[in-house]
Amino acid sequence: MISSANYNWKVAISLVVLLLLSFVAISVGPTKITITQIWMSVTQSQDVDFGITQTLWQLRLPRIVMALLAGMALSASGGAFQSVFRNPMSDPYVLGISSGASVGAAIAIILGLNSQLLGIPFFAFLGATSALAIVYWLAFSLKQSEQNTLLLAGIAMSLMLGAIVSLLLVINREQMESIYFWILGGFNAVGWQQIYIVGPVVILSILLLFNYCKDMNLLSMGNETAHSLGINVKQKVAIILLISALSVSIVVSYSGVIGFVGLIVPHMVRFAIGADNRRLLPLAAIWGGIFLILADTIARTVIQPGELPVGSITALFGAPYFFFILIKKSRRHV
Amino acid sequence: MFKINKELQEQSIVMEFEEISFKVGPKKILKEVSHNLKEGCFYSIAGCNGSGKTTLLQTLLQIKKASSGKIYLQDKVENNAHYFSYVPQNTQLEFDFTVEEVVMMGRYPYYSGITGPGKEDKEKVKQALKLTDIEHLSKRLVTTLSGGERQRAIIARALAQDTPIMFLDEPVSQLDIYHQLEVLNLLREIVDTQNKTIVTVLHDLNQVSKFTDEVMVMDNGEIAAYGPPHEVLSPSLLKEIFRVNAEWIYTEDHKPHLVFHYHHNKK
Repeated sequence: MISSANYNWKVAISLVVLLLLSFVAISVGPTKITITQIWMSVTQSQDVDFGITQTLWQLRLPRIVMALLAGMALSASGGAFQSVFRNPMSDPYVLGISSGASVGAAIAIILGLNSQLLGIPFFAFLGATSALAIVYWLAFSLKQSEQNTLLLAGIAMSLMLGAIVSLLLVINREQMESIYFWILGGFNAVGWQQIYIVGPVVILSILLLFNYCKDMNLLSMGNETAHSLGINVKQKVAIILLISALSVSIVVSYSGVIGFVGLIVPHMVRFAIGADNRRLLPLAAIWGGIFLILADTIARTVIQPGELPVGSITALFGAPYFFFILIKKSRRHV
Repeated sequence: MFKINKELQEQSIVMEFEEISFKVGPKKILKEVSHNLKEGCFYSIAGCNGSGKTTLLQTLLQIKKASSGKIYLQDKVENNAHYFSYVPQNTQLEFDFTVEEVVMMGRYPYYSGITGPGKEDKEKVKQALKLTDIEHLSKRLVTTLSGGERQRAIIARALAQDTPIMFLDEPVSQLDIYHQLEVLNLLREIVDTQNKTIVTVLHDLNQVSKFTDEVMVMDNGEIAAYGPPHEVLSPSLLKEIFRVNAEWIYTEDHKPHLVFHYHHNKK
């Protein structure tokens, strides 16, 4: 029931799409790299132009890997948030968790911790969990039928945290550039060193999240139902949200706030393969990677040699999609 | 947590609760409620809105933590979900699960994520789908079902859970009369054939009297009366608690039936 032949095919096709897209993403850009050159640089790197090897290994590949990791983390956590809050419109961005992480990161930059490798992630995690604590408290204080109020509260919190970042920016003019650069988000400054930190955290937290898919299915039916099926609701929700916050904050630490990925991707994947999280989350993670690699490739090629922030590309897709879900949801409740 | 009383087994009592209270701030929603539930017995809880019916169910299930009082079971249970199932008043169905997937959730407490559902789990799901007459809907998405079909899917999920006690909170309030009777007949059949205990909140007092063995009438956080419906639901009690004038009449086949006359009765 969980993994059928049909499902395995869909996973296989998704992986092929991911691989093909990665090749395209490696080859396009100011320096064109052909498939032959990619092949050569793996097999006989001494025969390939040094500039090309450098672009491939030190610029494009880490960037693609980071986009993949970020997409995986944001989509898997988005799927988890949606089940836990029983709302297909919630995700770490909409509920203000990403903004919480960004306030934490901005504080770390102001304190001069950006030279230390773990300074920003640590503060980002603190920021994310503080925002999360408020969301968690609200979720259990509000009636189950008022989950849309939770979204509004999350959006209000995002706005407030955004304002705090702006404020920090203005009163710390000397660091304005580095904060602003980081707020715009994106994968342009990524090297292998960051991937060695982000990679294990993201992969570990996604594997942990997969472990809770059955519980997420029950939580999506309502707290009372979940409880009657043997779930310790508050504890499970707290664990799932903490794991999500961990992966989101590490991503936000190194690539800034990238919105809507966690909203769009799980929603689309659910449409294709159904709501069972045991199938949804793994596939959503893959497609999250695909989506962000695509968005990043568009962001860095559309106005060459300049670059757009990747967050603006995801928002261009994401905001209309948000409206689409909103309308679909309200029609269903008529 | 539940307490154990091994003597209950001899008396065929599956659950006993003693002086259960539930407070929200200073307000007492339940006031020292005591009762016991016997094996193979169909209970109904009746009462006006806000009398504490749902709170009583949720306290017994430990979804809400009682402020004071004790709940006894016959023996230690490893997983409460093996002992009670629950059909809440509203189940949220936001996501596109199929009917079969929803009913299979009733089996989650019985299998691990690694092994997947076993033969018995699949069999119980099939049985539950059949009993609730929704086999033909098993591949449909629950979000596309009518209110009645959804409710039957939720009841099927609780049936698949296969527990000695089932709690249902107004399980038929969203159904048309045909499916109301169908669900109540089904619950009656389960009690009779499988010796299970069912506790359900019902508003229709004729359904209470026709289908259930014992009614607990709740009023203002207390069990005001309990016993066989025909004896308990006397015209004087109905006037006092439900604020209606009623009388028992006998139908042609000599079955008792309540007829209500509305008057403007202030409490």
